This record gives sequence, C-alpha cells and structure tokens, in this order.
Amino acid sequence: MENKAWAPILVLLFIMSGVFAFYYLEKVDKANADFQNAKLITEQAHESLRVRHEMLESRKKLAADHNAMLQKIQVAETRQKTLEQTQADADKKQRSVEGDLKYWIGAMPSIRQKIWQAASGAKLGDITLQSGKSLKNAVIRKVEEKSISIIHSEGIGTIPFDDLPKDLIARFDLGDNSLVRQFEQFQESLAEKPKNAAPVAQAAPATAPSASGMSAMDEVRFKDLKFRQADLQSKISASRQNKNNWDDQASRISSQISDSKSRGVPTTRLREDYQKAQAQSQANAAAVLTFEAELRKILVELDVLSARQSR
Amino acid sequence: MKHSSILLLLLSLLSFSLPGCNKHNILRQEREKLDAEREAVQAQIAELDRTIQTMPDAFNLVALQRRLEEVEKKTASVEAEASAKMKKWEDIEARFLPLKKQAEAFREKNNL
Repeated sequence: MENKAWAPILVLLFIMSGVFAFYYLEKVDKANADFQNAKLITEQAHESLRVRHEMLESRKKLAADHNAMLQKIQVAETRQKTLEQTQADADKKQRSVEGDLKYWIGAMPSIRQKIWQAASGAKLGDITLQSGKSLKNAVIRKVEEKSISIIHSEGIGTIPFDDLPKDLIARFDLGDNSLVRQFEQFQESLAEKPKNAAPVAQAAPATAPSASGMSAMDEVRFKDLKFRQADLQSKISASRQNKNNWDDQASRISSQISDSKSRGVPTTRLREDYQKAQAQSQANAAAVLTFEAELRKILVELDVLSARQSR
Repeated sequence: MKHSSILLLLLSLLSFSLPGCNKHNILRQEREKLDAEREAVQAQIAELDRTIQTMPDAFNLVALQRRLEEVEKKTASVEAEASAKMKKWEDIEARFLPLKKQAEAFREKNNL
C-alpha cells in the first residue's frame, strides 16, 4: 500500500522539478539577458552623452572662433567703408581739378584775347628789347600769339615775343610759357596713359609626357589588376574590421557571462551569443586569409608586368 | 507519515524555487533601475542636442571664413585702388594749384 502511495508522490515531484527547471532556466535566463541588454544600452547612452558633451565643448570653441571671425569681418567692413570714403574723396578731387582745368582751358584764351584787343593803342613809352635795341615812343598796334606790332619813333615794327621785355611777355601772356600753353600742356599730361606693360601670360606647359610603354593588352591587364588589388584591399580592411567588431562583441558577452555567474543566474542565452560571435570572428579571419592569398597572387602578376615594362 | 513526507518534499521544492523567483525579481528591478537611468540620460542627450543645434557648426565657420577672405580681398583691392587714386590726384592738384593761382592773378590784374 505504501509503495503504491509513493508513485504519485514521485510523479508530482518530477512535474514540480520540471516546472521549476523550466522557470529557472527560461524565465530567469530571459530576465538576465534583458538585464544585460538594458545594461549595455544604458552604457551606450552614457557613452552617447559623453560624446555629446565633447561635441558641446567643441561647438563652444567653434562659437568662440565664429565670434572672433565676425569681429574681424566687422573690422574689415569698417575699413572698407573708410577706404570707399577715401575713394569718394579722390573722385571728388578729380572732378574738382578736371572741372577747374576745363574752365581755365576755355576761359584763359578769351581773357587773353580781350587783353590783346584792349591793348591796341596803348602807349608803352621808351622800351628796350632783349636784343638791346631801344624803341622810342612805342605804341601798341596789334598783339598776336608770337609777336607784337609796335609803332615807334622810327616807324612800325613787328617784335617777336622772345625779343620783347619780360614784363610785356607776362602782361600779354605770350610765348611758349604762356598760361594758355601751360594749361594745354597740363591737359595733355593728364590725357597721357600710364605706362603699364602687362606681362604676357606664360604659355601653357607642354602636355604631359606620354606613355607607359606597355602594350595595349598589358595596359588593360594592368588596370584590371590594379582594380582587383584595390577591391581586395578594401575587402581585407572590411573583414578585419568585422572580425574586430565580433571579437569585441565576444569579449563583451564573456564579461556579461562572468557577471551573470557571479549573480548565480543561468547564462544559456549569453553562451549561445558568445559562440555565435566567435564563429563570426573566425569566419571573418578565414575571409581575411583568403583575400590576402588572392592579393599576393595579384601583386606577383603586377610585379611581372612592371618588370616586362622596364625591359 | 505519508502526509508528512509529501509536505516535506513540497517544502524542500519551495525552498529551491524561492531563490529562483527572488533572482528573477532582483533582475527585473535592476533592469527597471537601468531603464530609468537610461531615460534620464536620454533626456539629457535631447537637451544637449537642442543646445548644440543652436550653436554654429564647422560649416558655418567655413562659410564665415570664406566671407572674411572675400571681405579682406575686397578691402585690399579697394585700399590699393583708393590710395593710388588719392595720391595721383593729390599730386595733380599740387601741380595744378600754382597754375590756377597764376591764372587768377592774371585775370585780377587785368580786371576781368
């Protein structure tokens, strides 16, 4: 009787043990995986916050540079305005000089003409010419550009301006140094263009030296090998990067397993993830080896082509 | 005897189960703490992002650098032009003024 009673007790015991094992292995394992995941995400959030702080510091520096640059621009713009004012003053001066010159170019001949006309019949008395000759009771008959016609005690004579006394030359504005002539010369000097011998642009350099010296086929082959070399190098680099990432992942999971073990919780899922990470790492390591072997072949081929070209 | 044995078995099972329940609860509570911490950190990140967005970035600085270069280039060009022009017309004026004075004196002397 007692033996029969123990059977259901043992069955119940097995069922309860099974439930417990399921609960412990599944629920606690899942809770542990969730916890580790939450821990990882929180660490990443902290890392992200740290990066943001660094970015903020960097932006603060940029803002300081930005403000300094704005101040520089303001200073430069102020300077530019001052210079534009200087330019405006120069323009004003130019207009003033050109306007005055234009006025005197137009007015001076007519002023002189009036003086010449008014001088007709003016008595000069006795005058001594620059040649030393004296003229008695001289009276002006007519004034012209380069001479004066004078009536004097000995008759009528036309005296060239360079023989006239200096006071008469100045009075009637005669000769090459007359004001009219000086204004004209001044205008001519302004009209002269400044000498600016612009340097002639240098001729374009000769075209690049041609030719690798390879045959067309070799050149195509060479280009193809170079492309493949670049492709393999990028693949090797990517695979190494992947391997490193998976190694990091495995290392992180390993530390999570240690952490879980210290808590006394199951690590079934974490161990599965660790094995996956290790498998991926190994696969990437194998890929790197394969790519490196291919790359070595290509380098040999490239060496052969280069040697052929140098011959 | 039979009932006491069953009870003893149940009690021993319970004593094994309790730590499991407890661990589950501890893990859940710690995860909730981490979640709360993460939310706080994310709020700080969002706040920092908003602040960062209002600040000038490297692109602004490059644009400003270009603007500064342009302004400085223009200033240098205007400076050279303005000073050269001013000097030129000051020289011309210095040569012209004596001539102008002579002409004015000539006109005044002749009452015209």
